[in-house]
Amino acid sequence: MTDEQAMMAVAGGDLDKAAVLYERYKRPVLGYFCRSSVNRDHAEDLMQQVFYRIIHYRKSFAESYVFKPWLFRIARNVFQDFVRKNRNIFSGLDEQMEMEDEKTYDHEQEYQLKRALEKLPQEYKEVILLSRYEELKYDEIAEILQISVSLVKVRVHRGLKILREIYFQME
Amino acid sequence: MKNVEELFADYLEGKVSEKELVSFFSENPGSRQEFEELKQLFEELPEVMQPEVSGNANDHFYAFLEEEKRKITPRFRVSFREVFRYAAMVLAVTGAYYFGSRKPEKEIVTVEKPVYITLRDTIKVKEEAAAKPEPQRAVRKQPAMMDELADIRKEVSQINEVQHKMILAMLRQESAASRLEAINYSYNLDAADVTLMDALFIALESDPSVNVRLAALEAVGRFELSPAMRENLVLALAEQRDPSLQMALMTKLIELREVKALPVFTGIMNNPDVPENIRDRAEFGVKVLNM
Repeated sequence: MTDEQAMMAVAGGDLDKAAVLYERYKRPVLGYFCRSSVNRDHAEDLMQQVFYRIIHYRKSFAESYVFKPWLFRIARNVFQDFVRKNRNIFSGLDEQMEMEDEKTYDHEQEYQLKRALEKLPQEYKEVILLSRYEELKYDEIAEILQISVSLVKVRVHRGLKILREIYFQME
Repeated sequence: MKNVEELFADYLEGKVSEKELVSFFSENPGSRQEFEELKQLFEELPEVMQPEVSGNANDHFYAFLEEEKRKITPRFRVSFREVFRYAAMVLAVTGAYYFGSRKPEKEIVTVEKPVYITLRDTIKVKEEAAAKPEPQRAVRKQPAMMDELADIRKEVSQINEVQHKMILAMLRQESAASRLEAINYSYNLDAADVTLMDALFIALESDPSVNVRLAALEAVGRFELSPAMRENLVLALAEQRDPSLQMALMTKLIELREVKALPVFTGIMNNPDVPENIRDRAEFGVKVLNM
């Protein structure tokens, strides 16, 4: 069963199929929030909100939609709502997260690159995350961000240039 | 020609040929170094393992899902119950009107007329009595009773038909709760027609919900099973992988003493991938069916 078939079934009232989609995408969605500099506890809350919204707004999913970009568009909306409501909590990284991260990476270079990526302005970071880690195509990213494909390409290129600068500054 | 930003982005997506790259750098030699550096940086971005989701988060999601399912289930339940109730009411009202509006059969006068004094009158009364003998009264009343019985049978048949149709419609619902409810309704029936039995067997063999499949098996087991239906049970056992359903099917087939199930029982018994309790049950079934 494809993602789209499962989601159409959910939209039609067969909520059991939501469990199929949850099992397929819970980790990628959680990873998206973790990589977006949200600490682990909040990331799990946000991941759950994404799936709650999928179920609540199931009838808005149309047959012509592709599920994965639709899912990440919801994830992005959830993330933006979170940032708006929690500017105090969401202040980049907290100390605990930094310490946890340090343990995760064996190589210093990898760790510094991750830190540099976290310092990248959001509009560049999100295209790089969606492209590199969620393996979404540019047209899908354009759909999620509601921008043109050309602008996505520009942001990928500029984002990497800025990332390189941040990285060298950190070194 | 593409600009460097577009070329770089397309390259990362694997949409730029080597020839196109060589051509671009021959015309823009200054951009080559930056291109290579960014490419290297992109490739060096750390691989990140997908984080594991905690059991607590999973529990929350599944509790939420169950709650959502409950929220939408009552709508179906009320709806179908209402329809059932209205169908029964319509039939009852129609029946009451039908029987109530019928005029009673004219009673045949059986009282002996007074015997008059005259011989002529006496003869006349006797002649009338002879023309309308007692047995004739019974003969004339019987068709009316038969009609009423036929009407009642027709009414019962109509109710059965309505119930069958409603159950079939509910079995096609997308909500597993509605399909379970349909199967529960089948318990009101003393007998199931071929269409309903087919629908129950389809639910048993292929319903996405294990609970519905188990309920369908139980419902099917209430009715008298033809040899073909018993074979369907054997086929279902060969197909099903859910342990609870395998267990229930084996129990039913053992109860039916269906020897055609022996090869399937043996296969399960010897399959190391099957849970031990299921294999034990299959072994028991082989023993019983070989007796």
